[in-house]
Amino acid sequence: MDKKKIRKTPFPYRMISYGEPLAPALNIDVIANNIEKKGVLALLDSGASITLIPQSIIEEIQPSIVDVPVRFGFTGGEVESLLYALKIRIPKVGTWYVEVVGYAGLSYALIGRDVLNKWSLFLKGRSKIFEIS
Amino acid sequence: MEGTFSLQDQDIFSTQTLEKGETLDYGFAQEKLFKDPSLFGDLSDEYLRFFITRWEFKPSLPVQPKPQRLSGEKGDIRIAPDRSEEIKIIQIAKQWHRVHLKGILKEYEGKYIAIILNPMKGIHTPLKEAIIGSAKDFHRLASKVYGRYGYKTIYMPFVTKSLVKREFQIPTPLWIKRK
Repeated sequence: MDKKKIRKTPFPYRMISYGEPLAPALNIDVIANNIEKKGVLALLDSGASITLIPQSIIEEIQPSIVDVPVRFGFTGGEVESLLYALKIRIPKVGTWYVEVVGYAGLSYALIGRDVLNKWSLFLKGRSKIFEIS
Repeated sequence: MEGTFSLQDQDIFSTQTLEKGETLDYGFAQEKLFKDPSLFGDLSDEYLRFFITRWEFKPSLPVQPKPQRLSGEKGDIRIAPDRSEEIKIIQIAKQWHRVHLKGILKEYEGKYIAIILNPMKGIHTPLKEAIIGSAKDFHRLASKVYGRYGYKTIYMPFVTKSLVKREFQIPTPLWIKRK
């Protein structure tokens, strides 16, 4: 029986902040209004129900608004944001339109379950590699 | 150049704002001439030395629009671009959504929909005309709608019975500080 070959793309674990364990993170490209912001560090976060982009990038690329306002729970509190639609591109994996919220308290993006659920994700913690297929 | 001169003596403190070409007290005016070479006039070395040692010139910061606090920030103030027109479009579409919820639920429950109102009819735009697309997946809907109408402000809600604000959980980035 022929099995359909699944393409696995490996990525190394990255350091998000000094002194912390390495994390499944990768560089993504964020695209809106024909502006492309390349190499934005993004942490894969299965705890997040939506993708989050640093507010500075939102201001730079001015993505289209799709809802207002939305609330999200964060660091024990609750904040309101606009909801934007923009394209994220993960090199060698794919490009998608996603809904995102902006937050100024983080310098990196969080890839939430809205995107993670499109893939199969294999965390090889011991070898500090993760695979997306 | 605009700026403030401060007298450095401990027992005398004085500041004054000058604008280019402004004639004020003799001392201020001379200092200004010295700092701005294009306005350099006939000044004696003695005067210049006096003003260099006694007065400090601090240029004013560039004039910026009034900062506006963005939601989603804690203590960090940034200058927000004005997106009030886009927000207005979304708010009117949301109002339409509320009015037509029953009909929308019947056909689109569990899907994302894209709503563009006819500017002439506004809130009275019929359901079939206002909903320009639907899909179970946001990416599919956004690709279709932005492909056809361009990348612009379009209200794209997920259809559920509840019309409360959408809520998202991002519980991970909690801090624990080591002492």
